[in-house]
Amino acid sequence: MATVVVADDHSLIREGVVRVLERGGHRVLAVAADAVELLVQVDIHRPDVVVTDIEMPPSCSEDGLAAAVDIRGRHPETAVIVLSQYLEGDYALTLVGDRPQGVGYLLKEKIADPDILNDAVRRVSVGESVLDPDAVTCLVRRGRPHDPLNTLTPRERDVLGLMAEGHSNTGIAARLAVTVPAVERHVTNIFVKLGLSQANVDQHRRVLAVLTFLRG
Amino acid sequence: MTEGRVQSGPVSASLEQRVLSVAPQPVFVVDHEGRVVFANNAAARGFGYDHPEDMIGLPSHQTWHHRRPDGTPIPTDECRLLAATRAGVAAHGPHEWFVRADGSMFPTTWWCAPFEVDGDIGAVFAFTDLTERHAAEEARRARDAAEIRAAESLAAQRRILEAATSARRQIARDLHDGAQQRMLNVLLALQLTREHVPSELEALDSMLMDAMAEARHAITELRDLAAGIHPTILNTRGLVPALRSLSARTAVPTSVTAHDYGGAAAEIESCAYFVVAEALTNVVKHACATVVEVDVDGDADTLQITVRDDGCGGATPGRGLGLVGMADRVTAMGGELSITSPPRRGTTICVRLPRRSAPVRPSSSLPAS
Repeated sequence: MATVVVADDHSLIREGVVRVLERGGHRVLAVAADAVELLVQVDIHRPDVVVTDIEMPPSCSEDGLAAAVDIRGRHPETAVIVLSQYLEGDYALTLVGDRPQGVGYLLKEKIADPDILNDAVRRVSVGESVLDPDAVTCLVRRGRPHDPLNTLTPRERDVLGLMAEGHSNTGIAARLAVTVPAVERHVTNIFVKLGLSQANVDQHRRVLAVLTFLRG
Repeated sequence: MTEGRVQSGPVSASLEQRVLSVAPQPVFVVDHEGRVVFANNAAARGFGYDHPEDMIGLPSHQTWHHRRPDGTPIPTDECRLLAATRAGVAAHGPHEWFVRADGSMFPTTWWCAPFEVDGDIGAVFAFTDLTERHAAEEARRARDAAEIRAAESLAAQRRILEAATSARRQIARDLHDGAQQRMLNVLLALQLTREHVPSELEALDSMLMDAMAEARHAITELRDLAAGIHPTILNTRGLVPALRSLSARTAVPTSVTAHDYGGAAAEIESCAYFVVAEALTNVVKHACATVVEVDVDGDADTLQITVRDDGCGGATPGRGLGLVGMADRVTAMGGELSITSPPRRGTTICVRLPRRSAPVRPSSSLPAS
């Protein structure tokens, strides 16, 4: 169970998200209809997680995303999930910055998928990162010339994709129906191929691998 | 008009007569009836005679000033030359036409001053043939007109292009804020409805899930459609993030390399984006390429974009609407597009655009000729 503040400028969506989260066992402390109100509510309530739309008033541009970045700076203990109408890796990268822990990027329609939304809230609240599986599919599918990612085997790409979605080695092993040591071997190969073998902290390398993946 | 050799008048002629006879300015003198009593060499040449003597005694009005360029006659009592001569006053005809000995006409400007001839009133005339000046002015007017037409046509092209871009942006916006948002509401409503379905009505729940799957498809299609029409990221984040996003949606592996080009005006970035989009569409459709490289670079004044593929080449400018449309877009923004496409050796499209576009002038503010 996590405490949440929800922000969306459409009241139907806002109420729907609140309903889905509460039925999923989370507790919604406050809602906001724009980015300014969101910052105020977060300052007051200090929730575990913020779930916010990217496009919101006042300017109806990326105000929600800017507020999310702001919140991550002001309240490092608060995790943030942004909901996007667009499939844009660039938005995810802005949010992640150099700290992918406790962030999520989901396509907006995932709010009608209670399992995904509630699981994402739970996972970011414990410091994992969650990337929309559709966004990951899109990133995996695109090939780029002269890209170290091209040297990965299909299975290594699967593993990296699941890492980007925020899964642990155990979680990846379960999803791919392989053993944990097998996943660990893949992860080591990925680090080597992406030139991350010198980094000494495993978690750090994991973050860098995901960033390499996201940035292309 | 000037003579190459020094002329001299009759030996007995006065200095004044000799000066007049060689002066490049056409001068002639008429008596009170308008008959020529003196003409210098320049005047004879101007009217198309071999010698000034050929003009002596000729009635000036009836010989050189009797009709207008449209052929209508100038009656004697309307003749300003005669009127000035008889009135004994100085006069000036800035825009007149004279008739040459061979019947052809030339535009002229003339001056006259009263002059005593044999104890009676007469006049001395000087004139200038304006043919060359008129031709030069005509050429300048034609050149200005051509420049204005070209500028107007370019401005019109740009206005059309910018109107089309703005319409695309609005359509994409409406798809996101309208249809996509409403489908989202539908999706959410269906999910909330499912919560009220009793567990024994499994068939109903499965129908609701089918409806939700349809709604998800619709949302995905609307998202792809809007991104193809005008990606929002182009407005919010500019050219390079939009190109990266475009490359991710392109079926052929595409890399985007962006040097620090310093940004460009929104309409220029928009033009550049759609040119690259068109180029990538062509690559996917025709080039049989395995990789595409998009390079964005620039200097103080220019944004330069290169799209290079390793496909079959042989793309011909002017053949196929895609390339023509790309060239039109670039030209309308004051840029240049070049295509290098040798058979079997890939295609390289290079676009150069001014980073800051000149403001589109409404046609009424164009300079007058």
